[in-house]
Amino acid sequence: MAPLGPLGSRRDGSRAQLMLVTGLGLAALIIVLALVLNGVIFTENYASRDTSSVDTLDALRYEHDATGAIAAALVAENAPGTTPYSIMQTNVSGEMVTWSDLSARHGAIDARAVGIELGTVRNGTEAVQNASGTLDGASGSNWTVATGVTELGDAWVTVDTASLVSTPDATNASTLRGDGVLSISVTNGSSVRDVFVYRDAGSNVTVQVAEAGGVLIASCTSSGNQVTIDLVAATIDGTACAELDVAAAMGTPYSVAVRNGATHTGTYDITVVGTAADASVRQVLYDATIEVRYVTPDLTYAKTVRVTGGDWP
Amino acid sequence: MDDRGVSMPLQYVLLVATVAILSSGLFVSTGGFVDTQQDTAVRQGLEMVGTRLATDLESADRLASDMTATDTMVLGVDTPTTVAGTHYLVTFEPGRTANETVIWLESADSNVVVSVGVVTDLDVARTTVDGGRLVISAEYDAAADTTNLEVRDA
Repeated sequence: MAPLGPLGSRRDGSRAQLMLVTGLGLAALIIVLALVLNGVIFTENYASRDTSSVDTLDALRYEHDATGAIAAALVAENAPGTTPYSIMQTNVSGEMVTWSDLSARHGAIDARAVGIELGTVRNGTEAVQNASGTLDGASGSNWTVATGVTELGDAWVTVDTASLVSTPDATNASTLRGDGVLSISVTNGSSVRDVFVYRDAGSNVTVQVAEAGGVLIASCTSSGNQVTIDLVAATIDGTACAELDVAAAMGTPYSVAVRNGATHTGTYDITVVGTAADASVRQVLYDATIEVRYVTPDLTYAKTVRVTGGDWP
Repeated sequence: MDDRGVSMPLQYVLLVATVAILSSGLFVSTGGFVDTQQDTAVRQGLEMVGTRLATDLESADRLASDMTATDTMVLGVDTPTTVAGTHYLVTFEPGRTANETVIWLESADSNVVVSVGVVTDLDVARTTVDGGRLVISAEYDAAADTTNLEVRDA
């Protein structure tokens, strides 16, 4: 170790020890500072990457694509025709397997294990009339749309106001029915809800709801050349009428029928989970459940999704 | 001629004292600067980790929003093990408003604590984890018929 002093002949070469220590210390601090700045640079680099460390949007996109594909298959099977349920279900199952296999091969390229599996498919019926005409069925003016109904998908009727019975005897359900008033009846044997539609003295449209025994329990009114009564949304021309939610007052299963349809004109769509009870009512695949699987090194996602066979909820 | 009026020992003491004072000043100022920079770096790093965790929670929330008992969502998230050379803890706590979760990030070696708020549809379970590989999962509560998000160390 070099002596600090006394100074003498070696004075020019021995005074720098303290400065050497200082220099080393400062060098160490500068190294620490460099490391800290490096950390800052890493942080900024980290911040400039994707906002999420895992791209979960791909999983949602895959789910969206899968449900879209199966929905398209259901809608295609529900096109007008008389295909039996079993054939329609087989076709949808085949479409699903094809789509799943293709997506799995495509996903393997990006190290994704993806696929879909078909769960349950519910059979339904649809009575639809898109062009204005009489509201009767194949079996006549009084016709049952479906029996064994467990769920209403669509249940709306747009009726021409001019065709409605004017100022009938609105004492009870029997007098209204006797005067030929249009009605939609929902019954499960013990409970009944009749929805009557007629014109009142002021030429407004009145919708009157009756329960078991023919007792009238509530009414709503509207006006216009046409009136739409929606039993699923419980609305008249888009305005809420709570009593129209007839299914909520029923225990399942129930049946849906139309009375005095032949003397009224309009359009309708009644789609249910149930059994067709009229020749004019066609079979449809109401909905299906599929299990969507999406697995990557960072994400395991499996979800059961319901897909409908039409634009019903 | 340059030694006139100053003895050799005095000259030496003055030199040592001058160098010592200068060195101390440099150490104090540079050390303080480094400490400040390190705290700033830790704070920025923790804020960034918190923001990314909030984003990942939102992503997990979006995936698990309407899940049932049979559905699965497990999301692996990589966060730095250390930030600016220091380890840190991450705590998830309910916030002041409904559906808000506050992510607290606390440095182990310095007194830096930052918080990031995130709003999710699903509740996030209260927990504390270390920085590093984390797992966010959807846990279905059959009794309450709700799905919660949980974060744990991988």
